[in-house]
Amino acid sequence: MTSAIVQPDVVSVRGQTDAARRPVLEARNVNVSRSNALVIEDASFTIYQGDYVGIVGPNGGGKTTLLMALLGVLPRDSGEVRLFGEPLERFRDWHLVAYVSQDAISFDADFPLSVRELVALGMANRGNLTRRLTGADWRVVDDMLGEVGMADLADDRIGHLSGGQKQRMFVAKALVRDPKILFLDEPVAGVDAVTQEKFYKMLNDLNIARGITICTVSHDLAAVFCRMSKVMCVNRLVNVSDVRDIDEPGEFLKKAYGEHFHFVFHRHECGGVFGSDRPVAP
Amino acid sequence: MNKKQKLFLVAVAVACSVILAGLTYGALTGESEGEAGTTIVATFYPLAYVAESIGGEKVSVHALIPPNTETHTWAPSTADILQAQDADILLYNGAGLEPWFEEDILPALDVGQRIVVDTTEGLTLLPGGESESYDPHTWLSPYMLRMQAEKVLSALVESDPANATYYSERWTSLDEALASLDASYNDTLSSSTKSAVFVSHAAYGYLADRYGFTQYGIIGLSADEEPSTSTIATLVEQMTESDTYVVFVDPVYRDDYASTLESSIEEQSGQEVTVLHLYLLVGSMDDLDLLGQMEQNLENLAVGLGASVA
Amino acid sequence: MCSAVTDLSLLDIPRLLGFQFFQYALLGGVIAAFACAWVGLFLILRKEAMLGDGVAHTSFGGIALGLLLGISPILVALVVSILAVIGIHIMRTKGLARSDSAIAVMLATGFSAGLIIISLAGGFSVELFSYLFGSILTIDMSDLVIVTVLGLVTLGFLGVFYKEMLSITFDEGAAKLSGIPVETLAISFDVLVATTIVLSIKVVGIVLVVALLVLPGLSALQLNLSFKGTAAAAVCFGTVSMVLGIILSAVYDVATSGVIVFMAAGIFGVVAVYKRLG
Repeated sequence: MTSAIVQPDVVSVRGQTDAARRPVLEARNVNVSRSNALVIEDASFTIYQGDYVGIVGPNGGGKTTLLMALLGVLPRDSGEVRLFGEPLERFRDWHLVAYVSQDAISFDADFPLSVRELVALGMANRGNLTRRLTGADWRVVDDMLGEVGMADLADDRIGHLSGGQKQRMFVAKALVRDPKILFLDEPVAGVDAVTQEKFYKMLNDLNIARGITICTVSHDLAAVFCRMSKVMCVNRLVNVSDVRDIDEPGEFLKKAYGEHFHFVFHRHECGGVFGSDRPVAP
Repeated sequence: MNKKQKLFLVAVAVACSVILAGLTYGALTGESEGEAGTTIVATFYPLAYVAESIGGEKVSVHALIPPNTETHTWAPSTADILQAQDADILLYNGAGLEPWFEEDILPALDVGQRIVVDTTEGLTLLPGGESESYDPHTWLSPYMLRMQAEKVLSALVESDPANATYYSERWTSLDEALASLDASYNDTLSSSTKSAVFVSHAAYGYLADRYGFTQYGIIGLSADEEPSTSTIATLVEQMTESDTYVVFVDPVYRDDYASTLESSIEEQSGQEVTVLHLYLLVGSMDDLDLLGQMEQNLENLAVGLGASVA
Repeated sequence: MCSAVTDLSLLDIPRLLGFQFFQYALLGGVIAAFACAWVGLFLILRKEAMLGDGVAHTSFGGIALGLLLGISPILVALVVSILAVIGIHIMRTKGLARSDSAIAVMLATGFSAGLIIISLAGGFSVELFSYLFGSILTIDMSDLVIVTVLGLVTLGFLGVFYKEMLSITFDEGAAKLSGIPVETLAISFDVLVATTIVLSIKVVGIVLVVALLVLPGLSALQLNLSFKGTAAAAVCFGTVSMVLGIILSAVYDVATSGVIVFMAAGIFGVVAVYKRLG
């Protein structure tokens, strides 16, 4: 499997208290409109280094819009956003930020790229415009492929992969520059349950091993409450909470999904596909 | 690669080899048998004719431009360059007739032992039209051709001194033939009653200059197009002025073209018009070789100029 | 061109190789093949294959203008082609026309302007013919210098901005997010296309240059290789077509551009069948 098997007694970054860690993403009274309709209203929250955040909420609730606004792709009406303490407008260290879009996997299946080559494209950025990739760069690429469990498929064409494999590949691509925060928008839509499970576990391992902050939009509520450290509920209003602090996930989620929402969650069922699994809290 | 693919690739490779081998074999067996003696490559027919006349059995002559092909737009191929590379003597007209020879072929060769002859070098040349410095059509005049041929003789003798006597003997016949033609032209055309010659391709300047007439090239006549009304009109004007109703065309023109031309001019001028041939001497035609064509040209010119045959 | 009485055969190839004009032809041809294979592959992947044809036809206007004014037709064609690609780019980005429509407009304008100029200048000539259909076998030193310089510029650009171009071609949006200057590189690439086409006019002529751009890449794409593998295959196919084409056309005295492109098409056919059998 991956090379990130961590001993249970190692305290991961996310195990520390919020106060002990630096904030990587801060939102203060953020409002975002699209086509004159208010989509995100007065959002305020802080995400800390090492958090593994599941962004949940009903369709059309504004999850993607919020993501886009946080990344500066969409303009916001008002409010402040800070990345790594720096106001979004003045932020320059974009190599610290990685993003895998919703439609990343719907690329032209005939495009002539091997998995390795695609992941290597993740290295291309404003900072190294004319520099050739060195042997060291390619080793990083190969290591990354190993970490996402795609080492065997390195020389396959990208069009020959399954949906789940494609997403792993894009995660690897996003991570080759060693960003400190990774955003994913519905990464495993349309993929079977087992593959989804494995995917979120992979993200989990990456989060623990590398201390990278991960914010992923997800419809897999069980995965969120089993594996992730924070949950962000988005339905025009945004609520962020530490997963451990939520005793009744069903009730918590009603704020976003509405009164009639029914979600029964049993923590002991988090073993899932993988026998001896680590509990969420270290 | 599976079995079918392997077989396919092998089949393709075999097919290509077979085709290429076949072409190579065909080319090899098609080559002329044992090139005799001195190899001469001339640019076009008149020089090839002269070379053959003088060299006889002791030379093999090849003309780059095929017979009766338009000289001005012709361009050499790689095979021609290789041919020239193999020759002992290279003959060209010069006077601007074959720019491709001087620009493309000569520079590509390594001249070395080869003798390259500019057959009009040092001869007095007439000025040319707008785009040329000289009139290149020297070979149509027996007087000029004789001087060009003399250079060919010198080259042959230089290249193959062992057979000098042979060449000189053969040269004498050619020399006499051309000299006699020159005399005939002179005698016959001295009795001309007219002085204008209307011709499709203004190639007879040297004849005009030596034997005392004026040639008028019919501007705008090309073998592919119908003569335009304006061309005919201009022609008729000039013909009326010089009271000459004979038009000379290159035999390469189709017969029906000639008769159309004839009737158009008759219509406009109201006179009876005769259309005659004037050969360009760039290949044998109508069973006439170069000398034969020169004779025929004289006969036709005599008619056009109202001269009595001597 | 008329062939000589004595035919050449393949056995004459060693002799041909001794001639400077032939060496120039091979060198210029190979450089053009290299540049076209690379640029063409990117063009296909960017779904802009017809841009090549459009620019080639537009450059005809430049050639005609150059012949009329007595300035190097190739340099005028280069200027005209670069203006054409910039024009197409502006039409696209300002929303005046979609990509293929913009190309059609440019093609029509350039080519018809060329025809008008040519008839004003006195009609078709042998020289014009060589621009329409190529005349690699008569390439001289100055042509070779132009081809080499343009070829090196093209290959240099693609070498230096390799991963950026690949990034942009695969996913322009993601490339933009990475901070890659997409707009600048896209326009530079278009200028490069114009450059490559103009340098190839001498080799295969305006009419067939799109074939030299596109066929090697199309053949290579069928092999389902990595990008490096595909590019290598495209270059290989292009170069083989070029070299074989030049040699065979010289030996058998047939139109050089025709043989080159025919070989490239033949390779495409062989690869296609090969893949179907697998």
